[in-house]
Amino acid sequence: MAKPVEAGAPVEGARPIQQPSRHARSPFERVWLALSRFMLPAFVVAVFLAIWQWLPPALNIPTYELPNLSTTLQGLQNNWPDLGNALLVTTQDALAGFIIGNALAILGATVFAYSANMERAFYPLAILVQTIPIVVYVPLLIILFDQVPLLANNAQALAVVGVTILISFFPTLVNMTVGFKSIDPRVYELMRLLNASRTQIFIKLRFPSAIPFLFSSLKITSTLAFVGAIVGEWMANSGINPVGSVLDGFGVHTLLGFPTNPSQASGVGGQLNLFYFRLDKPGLFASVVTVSILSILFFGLMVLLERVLIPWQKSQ
Amino acid sequence: MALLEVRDVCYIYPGAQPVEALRDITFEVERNEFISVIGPSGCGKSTLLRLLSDLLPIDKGEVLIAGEPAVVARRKREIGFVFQDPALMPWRSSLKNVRLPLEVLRRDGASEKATSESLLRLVGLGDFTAKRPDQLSGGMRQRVSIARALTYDPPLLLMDEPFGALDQITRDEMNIELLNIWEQKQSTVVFVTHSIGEAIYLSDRIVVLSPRPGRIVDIVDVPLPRPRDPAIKRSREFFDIETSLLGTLEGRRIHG
Repeated sequence: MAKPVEAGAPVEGARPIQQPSRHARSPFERVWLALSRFMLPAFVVAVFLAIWQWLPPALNIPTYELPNLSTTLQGLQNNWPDLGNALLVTTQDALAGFIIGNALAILGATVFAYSANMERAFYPLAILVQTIPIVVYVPLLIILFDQVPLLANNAQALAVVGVTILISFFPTLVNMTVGFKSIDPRVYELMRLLNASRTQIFIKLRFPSAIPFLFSSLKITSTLAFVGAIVGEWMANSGINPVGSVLDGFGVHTLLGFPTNPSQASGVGGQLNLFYFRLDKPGLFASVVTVSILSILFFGLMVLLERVLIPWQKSQ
Repeated sequence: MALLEVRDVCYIYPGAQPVEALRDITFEVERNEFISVIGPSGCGKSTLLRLLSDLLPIDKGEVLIAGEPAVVARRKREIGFVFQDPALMPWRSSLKNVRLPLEVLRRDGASEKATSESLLRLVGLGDFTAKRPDQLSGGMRQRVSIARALTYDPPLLLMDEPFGALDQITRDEMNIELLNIWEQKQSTVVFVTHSIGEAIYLSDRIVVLSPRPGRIVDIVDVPLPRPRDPAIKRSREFFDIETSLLGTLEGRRIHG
């Protein structure tokens, strides 16, 4: 089976090949092996944080010019009411685009799997759409949505979700198109021997064969969705906040110490603009750090799901 | 009437340089007969099985299974196939792999589930029904694959070097088990192998093919009594058949 396409994604599980040990490992060695997997990266991160904390002051750079770790944390605390709401909005923008984009991509790849002509006709278009820088789509989508009476009122917010859909769509389309074809030729012959229908072959063979490919692209698009959301928010100064509206409906106006203001929906991208013009660099840094943590957590969730749902892939 | 009739079958692989794989193959297989096809690598043994099972369209000649063309027999699910590699679905447990044909045939009720379980017991995997292929050894996977081919009770079972990837010890064990299964299920088997010993031990008759293009050199009877004890492999009769088969194969290599 071909390896799933995993361009740009961190290669997880790429630890150095361990020499086959001639003797049984001592308890100390086993504990060290287990710990090193978590301790080593934790140590590297700790060193990075320490350098961030101590280097700017040591070089006499004022922390309001280049915020260090503690100033950034201070900025996070000071701006939490705005930033918390912005993170809520960005999460919704990213999730909406991630879910819709991936769903459309799976649907598209399914159509390709059923019709080679559809694939021939539309695959080049999909590549073309992808080669245009994502930033271009924000104004393009706003202009487009402005012309649709139903959407014109929310053209900005929809453009943000639209960009996130576009950025999530392509990796999954490519991976699933390849995945649906990456079937064991013998098992395919067996299905033919059984006179299986096209749909049976799709459900019982093609789809399960494509699941590892789906997870590779879910890992890629889980982080890309946040890129799309922030670029969109940053350019359109907008975003979606249905959760805020729902909470508002229930009379809940604060969550985790920030106001869930449904009318304030420009997300972390919008917040970056604001901090930039206010010259609030600690606030800017705090936005970057928190949104990174959010996107890493989402990526981690995909890795976890992959481990739980396709255990045969790991042990092969 | 013979269960399988092969008449004047020829096959040429198309392409810029067409390869003639088989020429004028004619033989018959009686119901409940175990027949082996042997010959050197690349003599078209696998091609022959693919033609018999309608996985390849026949150019010339005809293949009749129970009096009907192979296409019809395939659509009626009268053909079982065991490949050289187990060709299991890695995401399915042994039991679910065995049940796959029944699911495709939409016959996956409770009694069919019991059939699948008893077939896994028959191939000695009663305790491994819940294991996935990656949790089984190579021999075990091939047993699952055999059980899978038997679930829908095909009258004709085609086996394409099913034990070719196994070590000699496992292979000998699998041969013994295959004979047990064959005797219990009363099926008709066409078994492709490049092992002369395996062919003699298992078969009623052996079809010997020449190097490419594959032609039938000889069809050898194996008059050894059944049920066969593995010790028979050290008998005088076994040795004589082996010697004569070796002679046939070598003769073709010199003159063919």
